[in-house]
Amino acid sequence: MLDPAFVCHKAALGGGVTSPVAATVTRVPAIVGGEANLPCDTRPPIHNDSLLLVVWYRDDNPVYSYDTRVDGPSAHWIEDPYIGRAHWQNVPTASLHLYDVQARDRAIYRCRVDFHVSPTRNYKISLDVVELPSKPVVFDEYGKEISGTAGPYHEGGEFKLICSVTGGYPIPRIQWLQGETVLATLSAGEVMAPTRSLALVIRNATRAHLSALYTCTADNTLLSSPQKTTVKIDLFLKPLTVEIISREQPLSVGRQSELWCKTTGARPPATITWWLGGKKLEAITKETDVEDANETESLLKWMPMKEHNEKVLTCRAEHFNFNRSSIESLLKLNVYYMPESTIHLGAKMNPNDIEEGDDVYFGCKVDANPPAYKVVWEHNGILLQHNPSNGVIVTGNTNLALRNVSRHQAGQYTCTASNVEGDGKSPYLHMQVVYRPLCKNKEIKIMGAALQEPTTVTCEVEAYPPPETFEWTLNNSAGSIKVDPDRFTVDAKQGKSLLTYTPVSDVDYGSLSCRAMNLAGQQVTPCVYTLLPATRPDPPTNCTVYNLTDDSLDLLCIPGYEGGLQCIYVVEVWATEGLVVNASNGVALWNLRRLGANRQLKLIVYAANARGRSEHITLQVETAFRLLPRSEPQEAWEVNWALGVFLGTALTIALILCLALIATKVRSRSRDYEVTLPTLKNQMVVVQKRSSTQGADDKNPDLIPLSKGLTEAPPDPPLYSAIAAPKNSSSTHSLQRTQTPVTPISSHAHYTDMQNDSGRSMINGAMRSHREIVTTRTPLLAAHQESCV
Amino acid sequence: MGVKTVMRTLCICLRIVGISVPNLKQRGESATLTCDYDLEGGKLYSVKWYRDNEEFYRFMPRLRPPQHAHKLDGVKVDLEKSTARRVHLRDLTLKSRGLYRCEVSEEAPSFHSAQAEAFIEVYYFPRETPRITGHDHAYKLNEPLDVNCSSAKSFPAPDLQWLIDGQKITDRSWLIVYGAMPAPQGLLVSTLGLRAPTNHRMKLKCVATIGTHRRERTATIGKLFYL
Repeated sequence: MLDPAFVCHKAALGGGVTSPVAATVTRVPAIVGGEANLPCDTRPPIHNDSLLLVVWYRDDNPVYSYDTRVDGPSAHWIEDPYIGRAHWQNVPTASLHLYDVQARDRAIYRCRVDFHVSPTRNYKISLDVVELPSKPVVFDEYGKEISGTAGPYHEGGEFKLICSVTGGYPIPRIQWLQGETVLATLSAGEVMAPTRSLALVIRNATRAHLSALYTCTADNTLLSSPQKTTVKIDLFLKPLTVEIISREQPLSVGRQSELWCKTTGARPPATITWWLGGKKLEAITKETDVEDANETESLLKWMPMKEHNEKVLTCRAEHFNFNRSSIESLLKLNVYYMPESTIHLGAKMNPNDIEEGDDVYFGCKVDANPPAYKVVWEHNGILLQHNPSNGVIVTGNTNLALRNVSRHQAGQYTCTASNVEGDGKSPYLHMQVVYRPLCKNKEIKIMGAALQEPTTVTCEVEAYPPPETFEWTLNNSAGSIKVDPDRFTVDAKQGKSLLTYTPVSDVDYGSLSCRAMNLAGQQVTPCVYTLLPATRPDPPTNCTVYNLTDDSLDLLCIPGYEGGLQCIYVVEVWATEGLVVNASNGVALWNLRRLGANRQLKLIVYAANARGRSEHITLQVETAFRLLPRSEPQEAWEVNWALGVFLGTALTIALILCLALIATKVRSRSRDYEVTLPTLKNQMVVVQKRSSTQGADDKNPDLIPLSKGLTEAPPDPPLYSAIAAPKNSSSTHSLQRTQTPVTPISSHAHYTDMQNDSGRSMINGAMRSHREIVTTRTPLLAAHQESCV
Repeated sequence: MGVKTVMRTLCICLRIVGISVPNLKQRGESATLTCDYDLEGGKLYSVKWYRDNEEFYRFMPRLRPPQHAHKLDGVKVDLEKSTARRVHLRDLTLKSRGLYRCEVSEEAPSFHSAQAEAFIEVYYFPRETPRITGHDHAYKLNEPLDVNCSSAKSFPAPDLQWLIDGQKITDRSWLIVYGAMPAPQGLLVSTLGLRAPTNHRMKLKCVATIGTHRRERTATIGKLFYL
């Protein structure tokens, strides 16, 4: 019967062409998997004719037939491959409808329409089955597939996108689009290969390319929309702006400043570094990624220093993806700092050669920001004011002139500049004024020198520079003699010269003048020292104890020769156990207390001066017994009462005596008198009388009797008079006169008045005697001095 | 049940054994076209004849009578002489020329068909010889010839050829091709001009050829004036 294995192949034979020639071919495109309508007009050309048969042939193989002679669905016949995929439809137009078109359906189909009467019609329909191309695949230049986002690429750089399309019949056209704009095309005719590629090259990627969308399309038919794949571009962006914000200046040394720097536009966010003078600074960086603003902020906290003023602070925005492109924001720093001053002498001034009378110029170099508004000058810590009359001239802010400088203006100079930040004091400048030596002691010093004894005379001068040489001259009655340099030493550093001098004879006394010499010249006014013979004092004589009680006593002595120098009088009270009391006084009068009752005491009295001590005078004394235990208040009362009584008595007696005295005075020139001193214990102390002699009178013609009847016979004064400054003791010094040549101080000379006076004043405190002393002053070291050294 | 499916059998390989069609006929003649087929066991549905895709004859066994002819310009079918394998045409005209195709179809359900085709050319040979003009003219020596040759009307337009003293003129610069001009009844006339230098008394011959049919005319150049 029928052999199922066979498939017929038809080949037309004959003398002509082998394949049937069609008039016109209708092209029907269809996509694989889609549908197609192969039209075939089955309407009979004439009215009363009818369709008989429709047969569809594919290359002479029938694939579908519709036989109108058969009723029902069996009128249709479909060939196997088309089963379920094809059916005849009459509406809207007569056509063979194919579903699920396959690539192998691509062929030229012949539709033969048989009519009952009319001639058969043959239609040729070409079913153009379109195989759609694959979805494009985008690769990067290294062959790696890109899905979704390409990159990230570098701004300014180049990137390549390769679109690859496989398959498609007819051969698809490949295009690269951005939005609606076609950027590149690969036509169907070019390149016949299973997989075709089209590259898109973007040179110099700009910021606009970020997130740009590029679509690769492959199309080969109008029946369906093109296959497309879209990629989005990701870019690394360079930083766009960088700015140091918060530019509040000026900054202050020592005050921390905060500066912010912000950069935008970089992707991923940039890094910020701070640079100053080529060195990197530490800072806190904060990155913020606000809505694609891609900001980075950095905070710099630092302590500016003086050296930073006028330097440039740099904030640099860098990106690790872009090595060599970084942008910077610069800030020139204005740092305020305290002034730094330096004082200096004017140019051409030799600091070692400033002499008295010169003009000295100072300058003050000030390094300050902001510039100093005032500059003050100090000399040895004291502010210098502009005083042209005094020669102090302050000009501008930086110049000081001292006209006609004196040696007192030497010292430490400094200038202090001030600005808002503070005061800056310069290091000290020591200015030395060169002057000739001047004697430290303004006054003539009188010195006592003993015969045969070496005396050291010290000559001290003030000089700058220090004196180099000294010159000693002795002036005496014979004239001036230069002292041999061997006899004195020179201590230049201290400005001293020591002369050790031993007067041998009277001729060796006189006045010594000392002159120093330094670079400035020789001392103008010499230091003068008057040499007087000096010796140690004589001891006091006729020491008498008065008012001896159980506890105290008064001691009065007649002083001896002072030795030409000021002397003091010392009493030492010795008991068996040792020294009890030691008292010294300017006069030979003491009130000694707390001696203890009933004691054996030895009193040692002597005088002392610069030359030494006198001989001792020794006295033995025994204190009285203690009489009555007495209570002090009672005693006081008793004393007072007794005192009152006896005062009255005493006064009366005194009055009588005075009258007697006047009477006697009138009568004779005798100076004998006695004074009765009432004592606490009813003891009378009789003042030793001194008999007045003619000699005494002769010796002391100048004495004037005291108002109270006390007379004195001053002892023979020493040869040379000396004026000494009053001392603190209650005793006063008398001025003595010059006398004729030397008479050794006689031990007979006494004077009591002074003791009396002071004794009285010491005891009673009520009575004071007045004493007039008339003295004559003699000029110091007058030229008429007579002895020679 | 839907569409009736048939087992993928068949191969009842209907085939056309041969087609016999005269290549060339003259106007007015008759022609017999035969299309020999082998059904190989299948049933015949139809044999159809087309000229240039237009059906003019069909033979369907199911019809009474089975032959049927359609009107087609230039095709007169002699139904009595036509069968399934043969179709007879008479009174061929110039319009009869074309590509003749026979299509044999099997019965349902497959309606397998086979086709074959061949071309019939219809000519009209010229009844007369070509005409030469311009040769009567008295030529001076070396004056160029100016003669034309026109064929008698025919179809298609014949090929014309000039011969001078039996020598074919091939130099195109001497020939002027006027081409074919229409003549009545759809015929054509060809004209070919000759421009050749004359130097002696020449014997000219114009030959018109259509296929194997050939007509010629000879002419001699007239008195030559010798100056």
